[in-house]
Amino acid sequence: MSTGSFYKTLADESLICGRCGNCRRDCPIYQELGWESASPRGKISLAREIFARGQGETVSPEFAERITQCTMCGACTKNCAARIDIQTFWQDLRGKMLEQNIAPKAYTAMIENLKSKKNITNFDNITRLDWAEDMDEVPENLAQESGAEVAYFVGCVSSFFPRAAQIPVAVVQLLQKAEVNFTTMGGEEWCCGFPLLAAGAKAEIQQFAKHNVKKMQDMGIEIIVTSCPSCYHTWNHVYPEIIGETLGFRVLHVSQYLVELLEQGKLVPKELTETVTYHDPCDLGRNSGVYGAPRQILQSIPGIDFVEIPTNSADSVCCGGGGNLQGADGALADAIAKKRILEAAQTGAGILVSACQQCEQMLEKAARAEKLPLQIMDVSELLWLAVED
Amino acid sequence: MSAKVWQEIKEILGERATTDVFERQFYQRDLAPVPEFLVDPMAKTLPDIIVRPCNAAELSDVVKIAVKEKIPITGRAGGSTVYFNSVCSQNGILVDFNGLTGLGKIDRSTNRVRVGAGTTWAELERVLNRQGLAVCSYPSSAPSATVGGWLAMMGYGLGSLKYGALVEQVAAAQVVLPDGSIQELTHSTPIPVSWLAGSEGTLGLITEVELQIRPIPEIQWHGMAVFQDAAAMQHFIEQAAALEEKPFNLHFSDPGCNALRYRLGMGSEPTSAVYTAAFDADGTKDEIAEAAEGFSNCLSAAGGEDWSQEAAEEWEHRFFSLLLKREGPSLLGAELWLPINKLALYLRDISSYENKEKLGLKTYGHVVSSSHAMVMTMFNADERNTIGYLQGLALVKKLHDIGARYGAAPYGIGLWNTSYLQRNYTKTQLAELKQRKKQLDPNDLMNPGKLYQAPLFLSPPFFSIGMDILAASRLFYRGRNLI
Repeated sequence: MSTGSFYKTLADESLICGRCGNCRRDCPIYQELGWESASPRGKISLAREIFARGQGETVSPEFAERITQCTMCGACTKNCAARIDIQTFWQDLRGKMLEQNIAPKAYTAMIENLKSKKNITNFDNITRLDWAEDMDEVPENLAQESGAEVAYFVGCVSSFFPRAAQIPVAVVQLLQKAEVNFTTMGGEEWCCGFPLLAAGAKAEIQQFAKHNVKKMQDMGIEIIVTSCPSCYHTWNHVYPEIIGETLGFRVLHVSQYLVELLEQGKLVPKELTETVTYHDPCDLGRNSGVYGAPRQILQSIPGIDFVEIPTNSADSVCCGGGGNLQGADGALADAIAKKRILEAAQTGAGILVSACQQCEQMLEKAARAEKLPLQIMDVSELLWLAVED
Repeated sequence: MSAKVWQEIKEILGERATTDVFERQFYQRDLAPVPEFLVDPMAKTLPDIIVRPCNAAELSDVVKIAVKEKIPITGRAGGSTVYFNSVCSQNGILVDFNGLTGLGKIDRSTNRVRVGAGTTWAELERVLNRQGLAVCSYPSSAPSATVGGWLAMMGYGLGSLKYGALVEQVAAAQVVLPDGSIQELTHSTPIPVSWLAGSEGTLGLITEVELQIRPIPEIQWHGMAVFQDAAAMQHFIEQAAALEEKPFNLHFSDPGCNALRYRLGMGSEPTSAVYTAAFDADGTKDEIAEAAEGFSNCLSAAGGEDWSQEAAEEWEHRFFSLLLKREGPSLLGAELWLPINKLALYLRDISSYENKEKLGLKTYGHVVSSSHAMVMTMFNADERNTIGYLQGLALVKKLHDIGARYGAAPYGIGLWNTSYLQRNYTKTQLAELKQRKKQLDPNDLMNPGKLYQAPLFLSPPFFSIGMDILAASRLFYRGRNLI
């Protein structure tokens, strides 16, 4: 069966939708809110009336709220009986909100911030490597080292959010331990642009893609490693479309690269006696097809008792942190995270591992709120724990 | 709807009830995009209140209010039917069943499970599979269709050939009857659970079902047979349906359907111009070996070609039939309950009709018993083009009429198929159904306007003349996108 996208336009796809409701099955928003208006088919149905059947082009405030209530997790696309690329549909629908000046302030502020700061925070982009100050010794080759084979694309959340900063620290230590010739883009790293896509600002991502690709090419990089699944997805699936040609380097999620290092014997984990479960990030698993690498890492650590969460791999449920939902409806994002952390806790694991800094932030907050004795870690953090001297 | 009624319902359900028109508008239609000017003279589809109960007690309280105030009450779960089966026809209260979920007790000694009626078949199967169990049958709309919803319809789909209609797998059901009482119905209670099967929510609202399940099959096996003509395919299907070790699923497609599948990136060029029958078996290794041997024997007897290399892909596609809509954008068609011994004749007439009308007809179906198949014949349309779409609706009647020549009746009644009631039931059967309705729901509050009687515009003489005139209008003008 063809797995390519059939996507034409917002109006065309809204007519193709048969309203079967398969999309409701795993939609975290619908499952949380329960109203048909919150289901993907409900939203597509109303979009059809507005944009394909000519009943006025205006999006009502109620509909606008529903449009923003989506984590872009891709569960709807996976289940769509008509094979509609529903994530692209949501991007286009949010684009209509921007056109009509009814997008939430969280979107417009983020877009303006990205244009000026080149990252999703208010921090100056030059401070992108401040997280490295947590290391005993900052590697000399960390910033734009010419001649490096591997570039670590750190991502905005890991670069600027204190909790997530432990992830790049672990990744860099692992790369050092494996004697990888690596560097980062330092202050020249711009946001990958994924938040722009999720906000419907498709045109704006172009300059981010062109800048990042050009800098990597100028540095002569052969392998790009990301620890953020959304960056990984954007580099792998979106940038080639924008650039119009293959990028000329391998793009790997850090979990994939760490598996290669393990297989080459460059990293040798010691025993850790822990019961561990794994949460599949949507943009790494369902939306990019990477399920095996993080599990391979966990299973490479002697002593780990690995247990799956009942809904895992392609059926994995979102953490609530995607699709700019936190900015638009933080309470809904938290409610989704709560459901996921409670499901993870039922496994009896002591550690919940993921491979996405946003998932970890959401799930850690939820675990704290629910007072669960569950430690949340990135797969690179756990591996470093098993590898460090 | 009075403020008092709303207040009473609000007190029961809180935030799980609404009168907000923004929310209510989403419940006005099912899969069928029928134009408003056709719907409005026959049905008032906008509910006054939506309620989302989480248990039978809440629903019972709502139904008691409805009875006291004589307010129509319509149930809706997946909303995945096409004949307005779960769309209001007289406004009133709409019950959204999707909150009535959850798996209850599993009795491994009898292989029975208790399940909330709003649980989807896909979710039930997923949860059971984790425990080494599986459902016996499910609809091709399993990701959205619910356990209670499918029981309220006729309950035929994948697995029915091997395990029978859903009602045969149901040991008991908890139901909120039209008087608001909560009752446990079995096959031996004064009101038998079988009355609920196919009642389309007109006799009561199903809240829980006790269901026969099975151990998860050890393995699956998928075969596919190809045929140059429909008669050979019918021969194969009749033989396969009569096997001792029946396939879990027996599915067929005509060349029109296979050509479209090929254009959409499925199948292969050789299968795009022939009739295909997919034969999906599951069970123990011994059962699979017997089924595979049965497949080979049926294939030899019918003179078909083994093309099993495409069978697994066909199986994987079982929940994605709406992909066929991509060349639409809309689809119109007739879903028929057809005797399999007339399948070739039906397909021959469909082929002749296609040669005459050039509609791009495509047909597929599931064999769901040793005697009958659910057959879908459809063609592209465009709901934005009113005249063309109306003419298309008239042609749907022609497809039903072709089926009727061979004893076919519509699969499901709802509102739109009430014109064909006499094809589904004899006078005696219909009288019996009406008697049940009168006994249980004397005030006709449960899903009124469905199943038992056609409204004026759909009454057979009126409907037939109207549709014939519409179809004939194509001699003078053909609506866009209706080839």
